[in-house]
Amino acid sequence: MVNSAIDKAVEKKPSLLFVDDEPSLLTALRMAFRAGYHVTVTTDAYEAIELLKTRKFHVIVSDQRMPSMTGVELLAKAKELAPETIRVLLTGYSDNDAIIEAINGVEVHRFLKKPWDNAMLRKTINEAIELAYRLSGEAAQDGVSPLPATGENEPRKSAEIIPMPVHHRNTAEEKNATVQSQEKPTVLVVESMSVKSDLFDQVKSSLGDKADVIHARTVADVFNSMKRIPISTMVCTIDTQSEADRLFIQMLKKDYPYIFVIAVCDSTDSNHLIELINQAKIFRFIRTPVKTTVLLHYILSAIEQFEELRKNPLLIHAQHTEEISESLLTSTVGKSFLDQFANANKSIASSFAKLFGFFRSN
Amino acid sequence: MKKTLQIWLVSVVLLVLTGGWVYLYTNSHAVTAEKQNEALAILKDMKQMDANWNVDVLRSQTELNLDYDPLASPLSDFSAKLATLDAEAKSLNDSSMEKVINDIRTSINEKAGLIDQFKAQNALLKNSLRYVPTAHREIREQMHSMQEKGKSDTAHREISALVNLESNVSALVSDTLRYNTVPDVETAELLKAGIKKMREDLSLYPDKVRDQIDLLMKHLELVLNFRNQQFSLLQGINNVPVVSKLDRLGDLLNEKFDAELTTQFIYQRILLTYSACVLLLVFGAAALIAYRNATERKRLTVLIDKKTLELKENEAQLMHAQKMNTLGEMVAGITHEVNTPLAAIKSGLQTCYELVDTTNTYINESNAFSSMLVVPPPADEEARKLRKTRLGHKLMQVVDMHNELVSMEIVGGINQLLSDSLKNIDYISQIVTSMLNFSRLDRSKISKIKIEECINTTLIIGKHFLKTVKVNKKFGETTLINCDIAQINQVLLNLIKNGAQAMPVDTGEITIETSMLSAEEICISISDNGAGIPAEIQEKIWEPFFTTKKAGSGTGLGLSTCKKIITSHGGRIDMKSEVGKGTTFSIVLPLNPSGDLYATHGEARNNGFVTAPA
Amino acid sequence: MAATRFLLGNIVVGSLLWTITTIWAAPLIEPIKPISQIPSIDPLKRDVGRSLFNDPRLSVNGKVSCASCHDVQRGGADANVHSVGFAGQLTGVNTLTVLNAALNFKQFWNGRAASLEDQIDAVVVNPVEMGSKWEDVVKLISKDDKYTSAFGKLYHDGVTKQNIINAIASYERTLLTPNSRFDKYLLGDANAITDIEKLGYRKFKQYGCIACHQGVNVGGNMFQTFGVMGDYFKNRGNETEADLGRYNITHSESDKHVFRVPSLRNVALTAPYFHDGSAKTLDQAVDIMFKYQLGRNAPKDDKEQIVRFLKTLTGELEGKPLLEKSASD
Repeated sequence: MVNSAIDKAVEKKPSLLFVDDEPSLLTALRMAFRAGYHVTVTTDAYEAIELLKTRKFHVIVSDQRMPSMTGVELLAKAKELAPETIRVLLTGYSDNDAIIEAINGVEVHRFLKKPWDNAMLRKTINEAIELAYRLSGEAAQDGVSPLPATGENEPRKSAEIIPMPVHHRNTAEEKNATVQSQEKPTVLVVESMSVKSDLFDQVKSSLGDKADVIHARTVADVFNSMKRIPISTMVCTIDTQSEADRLFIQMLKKDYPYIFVIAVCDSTDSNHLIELINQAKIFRFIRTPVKTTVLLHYILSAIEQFEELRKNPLLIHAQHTEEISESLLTSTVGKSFLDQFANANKSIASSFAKLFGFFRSN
Repeated sequence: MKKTLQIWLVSVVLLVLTGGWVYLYTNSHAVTAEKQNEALAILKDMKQMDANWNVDVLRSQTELNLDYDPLASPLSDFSAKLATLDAEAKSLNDSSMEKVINDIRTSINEKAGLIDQFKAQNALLKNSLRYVPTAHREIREQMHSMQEKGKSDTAHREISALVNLESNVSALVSDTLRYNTVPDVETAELLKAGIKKMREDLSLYPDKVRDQIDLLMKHLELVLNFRNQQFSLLQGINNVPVVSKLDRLGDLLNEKFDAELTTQFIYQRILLTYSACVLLLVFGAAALIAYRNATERKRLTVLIDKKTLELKENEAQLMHAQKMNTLGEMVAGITHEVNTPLAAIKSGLQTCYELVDTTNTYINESNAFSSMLVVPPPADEEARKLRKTRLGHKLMQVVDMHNELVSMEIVGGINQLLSDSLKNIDYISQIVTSMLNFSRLDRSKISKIKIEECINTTLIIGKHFLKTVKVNKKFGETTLINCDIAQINQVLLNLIKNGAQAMPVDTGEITIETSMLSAEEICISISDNGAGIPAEIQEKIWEPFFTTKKAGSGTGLGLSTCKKIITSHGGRIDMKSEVGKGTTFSIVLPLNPSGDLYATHGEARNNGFVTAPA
Repeated sequence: MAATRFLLGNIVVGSLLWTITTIWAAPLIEPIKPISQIPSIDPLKRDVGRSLFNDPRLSVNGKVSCASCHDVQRGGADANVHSVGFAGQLTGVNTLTVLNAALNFKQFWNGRAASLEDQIDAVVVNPVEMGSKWEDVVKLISKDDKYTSAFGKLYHDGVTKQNIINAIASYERTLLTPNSRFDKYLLGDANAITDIEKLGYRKFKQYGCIACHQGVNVGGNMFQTFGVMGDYFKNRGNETEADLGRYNITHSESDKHVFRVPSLRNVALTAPYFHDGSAKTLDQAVDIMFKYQLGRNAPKDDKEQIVRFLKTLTGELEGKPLLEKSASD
């Protein structure tokens, strides 16, 4: 028996769709989200597709390995049918190709590994729901977050978000700007962050006139470049095994969420991949040897996305990352990065604030 | 390039050596006595001819030869013989020989010229000699007849004059004839003077005989001249140095021949040494080559051994890699298969915690309420009213909680989660058992088993890639088979995985059949209805490292190792495929494996998953 | 009585001997030898030689051939004092006969050719006689297919000067005239010649003609001065270079007016006689010979007998007796 209050409450609750071929898992999921969510479960991907067509879901969570189609395939369909539904992929078997495909092709927001910790699960789902709300503009009407108060939500620190640079034409105001205004976007190519390659030449030659390309080899280089010119796209060689590499990217994305990172890596350890995705929101992955056509396509995509983001600042929330683990932040590398970032952020922010109009996102 | 150059060089050297040897040989055997003997024979003949010629001259002179043909015929013979010698000299390009031959020719011509003179003179001489007595007689007769006539009517003085004249003539004639016999100088002088005088006194002679006497004088003069010359002519003829020149030529020929023999001898010597050297060279070369061959062979043997060892090692590594691959395969499968039930268990139990907590809270609240109820109501109305409100609140709370719990179906929920967890634990346990069964770590390598068991174990291990595939099992009645179970499981996993991956999603079907091919052989077939293998690569699939998957995914070791495993069991594995229809792999295994299997198990032990417990 | 007996004895012995010699027919040993046999030769070569002998292409203008001067049907020479060359010039000397020329020890009146081959060589290039060049002759002959095929069969090197000469010379060697009546007589047929002819032969010997005209070719094997007993040339007059004879070859004083003794075989056919062709008849020739060579006076009868003898020296050519010219004498 459902009374109208409950109905209302039901309507107000965020709706989740779980898809997995193992029924006991679905039971566990359903039970985990028993209170405060409207949970739909199915073992059949086709049924999920039908559901997506007819109802609105905030979040869809799918297993990768399923009989009729893979999770990535299903989420791709979901992206088509319900682009505002946040997509999460459950994976119990590290299938790197699938993961990369999920990121590159399907824009999966988060990855979850089996087995998971319920608290972690809830946090991820809640963040996803919040993102869904923000993206769809469905802010809490009564100021109250639609998310159930489980005490696990932590308010995000939005104040530290560094303002986005704006690419705009030269106006009279900026005539005395010391930094050249750009009509073209700038792509930062970061090489040898532990891995050597001739990536810079490749990017430069493939882009040609479409964008300016700057080279950076060290962390200092990156910050210096960012001080001079607003960067929106970064092509970066990453050694997924290197903790420092991963940490840097994670911290960068955290502080500069509008930078779309295209990661070039050769070997992929799936654990690290998932970590990178969840915590650094890598835009695209490219495996070496890098195919120039693919690289170009991804860079142009990133630039496009940035423009999209400028037009629709709410999309920045999609770039929100998971918290970086404490242990990492307190490590030696982490500490040095924190310092560097702190210094850089100030100067970058100030130079941008002075010279450009900035767009503060909430 | 270098090789062809070497071959060219060697050929050239060989050619030069052979050429040298041939040259030496021909030069050391060139000299034949034949030509020499021919030439010397010719010379001998010529000497003979010359001697005969001399004799014929004398014979003509003494009228033993009636005609001069024998004196004329040698010319053509000499000419012919000289021509032969000339040809010989020309062929040898010997100018000294030609010179000598010309010399001989000159002498012969000289001799011929002298002989011609002789012939001419001799003829006239003989004629004159024969005529002189006749002429003399005629003159004498004439003069006698004149004397006779004169006796009758002329003066005695005339007659005595005639007689005188006649005796003059006679004297002259006899002198001439004497001179003919012994041609000494005094008689010649005498005759000359006499004839001269006769000529001067010719007018003294009567007319009738004057012509005859004149004629006679001519003849006497002729005799005088020619007899005078005859001796020197004959001497001249004899002295013509034909023989010496022939001898000179003979000597020259002999010299040359000797020289040639000497050079030939030298050449023979050189040839001998040359042959010896070449033989030495050849032997040396042969020895060198043999030595090189021996060392090369040794080196090659060592190399071959090394390579064979490497090959064996590589094969072992290959096998190992394949096993690793399978291990990876298995681990991948296990991981995924285990993670899901684990997730369900973990989540379920965590949720259970929460639910129990909630239940606990409810129980506590219920307890609290009960406690509140138990406490007797206070006397105070105010207190009682307060108590009633509180109780009401508490009741509401409890009822709310209760409703919540009911709506949540908490007990059912907890039961469900717990039961699911237990089931999942069993499932995980089953997977672990399958792992053990698959790898046979806890048991000996070769043992008896039902093939269907292997198939079932493998299917569990491979569950994660069989999710999208329908598996049909058509098991027949089979006997226990003795085999290396872990290896057979490997093979089955490989084939089943290949089949699964070849399939279209959703409609994919794998059919696994077992049957007894014969009393001693089991047949297992794994068919899929996938894409099939194109004819061009059907042979290649058995090659190690051959794969149709993209680079980086799978090492494609599977089929070559499978084949190896099956054949070491003494079985065989075949493949039938049709593009668009599907592929069937058929394995035939003997109930008892071949000796190879037991032999290789000494090595296999170390290449297995883990060293088996003893 | 004794004389008669002696005479009778002689008669008997004489007739006996006569009988023996005529009946028994043993060959005689004489300074003149009979022609024994013609050398055998490849018939093709002989035909080719004969062809060439008769071929005017050997002369530069194709007007004269060997046969023009050496007519084998007319004694192997011609009836002219001097023969006519290719351009109408006259030769320096009378043409000698080609018949039995193979038996001569040298060729030409002055003996400059040591063989038939040398004679053929000299004639072809002689500016008066044939006036040609051997290269041209070879070319001409090579153009003729008949010759080229024949030469190809006979000689391995085909048509060459050497081979042309060889062919002609080989043919000439077959031009022997055996079986003259005198030869038959020499071979033992006592009836081959008449008594007068026999007498003539005896005279021939007695007078000494045989001193030079001897051997198988009745001459042709020696040189002799022409005009031993007298200066023939002075008496004849009009001395030419040709009259110097062998002197032209040897340039030796003793060789002035020395000529090769000609053969008397077939002499009946080869008028006019001597190198200058001055004797038109045999009688004239015999006269000159007696006067200048023998230095003898002979009665007319003896000379006639000698001439009769000379006529027996006419032989057969290719089996057919050569015919005397009817109006020779």
